[in-house]
Amino acid sequence: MKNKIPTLIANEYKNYFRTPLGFILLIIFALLTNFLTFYAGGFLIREKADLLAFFLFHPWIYIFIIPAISMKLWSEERKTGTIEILLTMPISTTETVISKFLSAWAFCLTAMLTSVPLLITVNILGTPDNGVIISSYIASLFMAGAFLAISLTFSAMTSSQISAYLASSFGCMIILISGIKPIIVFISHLTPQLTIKAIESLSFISHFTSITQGIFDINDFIYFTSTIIIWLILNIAVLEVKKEG
Amino acid sequence: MDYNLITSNISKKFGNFQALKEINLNLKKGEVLGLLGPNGAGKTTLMRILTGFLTPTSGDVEIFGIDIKKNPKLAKFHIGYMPEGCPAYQDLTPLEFLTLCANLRDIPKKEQAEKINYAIAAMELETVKNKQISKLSKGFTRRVSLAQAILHNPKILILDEPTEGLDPNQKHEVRNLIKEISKDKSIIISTHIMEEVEYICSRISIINQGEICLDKTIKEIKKLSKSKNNPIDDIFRRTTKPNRGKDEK
Repeated sequence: MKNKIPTLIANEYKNYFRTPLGFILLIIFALLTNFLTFYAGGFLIREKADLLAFFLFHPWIYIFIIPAISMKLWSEERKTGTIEILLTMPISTTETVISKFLSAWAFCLTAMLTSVPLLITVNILGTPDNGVIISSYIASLFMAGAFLAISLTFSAMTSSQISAYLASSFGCMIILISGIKPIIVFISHLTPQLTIKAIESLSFISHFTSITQGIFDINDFIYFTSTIIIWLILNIAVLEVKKEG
Repeated sequence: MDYNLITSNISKKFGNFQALKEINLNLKKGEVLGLLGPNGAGKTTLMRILTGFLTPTSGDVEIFGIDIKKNPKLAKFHIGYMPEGCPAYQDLTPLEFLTLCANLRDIPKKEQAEKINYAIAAMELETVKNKQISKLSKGFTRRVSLAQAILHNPKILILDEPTEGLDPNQKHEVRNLIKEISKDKSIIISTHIMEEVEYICSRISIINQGEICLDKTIKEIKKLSKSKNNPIDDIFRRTTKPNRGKDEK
């Protein structure tokens, strides 16, 4: 039996552009990132040849964008009944989960490509450290992948796209904000130091920020990769449990 | 006896609700089994278990001797399935949908065009093959779903209400097609249309409250019934009447 993952990825990826949804998401991503980079991030005021102002807001944008990318992947299949066709094909549940994840991840990469003009501009205006920029892009893509794996699992739990979206956004937000300073300060009064360190180490923001600031630590990539794998395994488990009824 | 499909003591529970109880159903080559029963009797649940979409709480399903739990990919290879409600990817055209199914069904590239053309011709989809499925009528959508089930020429065909929503001409053609292809296949059809059962099926299983309460050939049913005009209808009502009475309350 041949590998059907490329067929499924191609079909799922094309699905984004068969309706206006994919184009709308790309436009929203491009507008949001550019607005935040120039106005909130002060890209021009900083007078520094880097893309820190661009990457700074990625985690916050992803909370809203990633669940929108993934919400329909399972919930629509369940609502329309096509899940019965898909899961009765000679394909394993693992293959379908991997395919849906990779197609959505490829869509995230496409969204990121909308920032190429910004990359060209910063290279024209100055001499940025492109090594840091490339590692930031990779880190952002891995973080998007982790958000995606979480959202995909929530999508598998329900046939309602809006429920999947809200649950994913909330879940991603919890994981994200657990690492920000005000939250850490707040919980430091309630829990021992060891727990705080554990919570901090599980937050996306601390792993992402260190990479964008030029600190390339392989542990950050291992963290995002293992998060993706764990949530994809959970996704498979959810589908298998649903099979049990 | 060589059976294409064997089920042994299949039971299914959803929480505390017992949807199926100890179902034993075997199917030979050339047999067309009509799965009858009142709404909520467990027909769709049984079909979902036979196709591997649901896992039984207990019991086994064997497709050509392959245990569907142990080797689902290989077992599913032999099955064509049209689920209830004729689902199909609405944003695709019938041609795109069938091409996707052909790829997922492992049909070699060089055979794909021939098989897709056969399914399109058999279901009379030629005029709509490049239109988006969401823009097709209910009848056409149902035929698209049926086309994907027969696309890979499966040895076992499981069809959940295949003619529901079709006009009388389309119903006639689909019944003829099922009859024609049934010679080298084992087919299970769920339906509420008794004339369809008499025309297509060689055997009937009546399922009620999750149990098979009757499993006989059409000839046996005719002998058993007191009604000469509607023997299947008569037996169906006699077998399932107590349950229907409860439903009506």
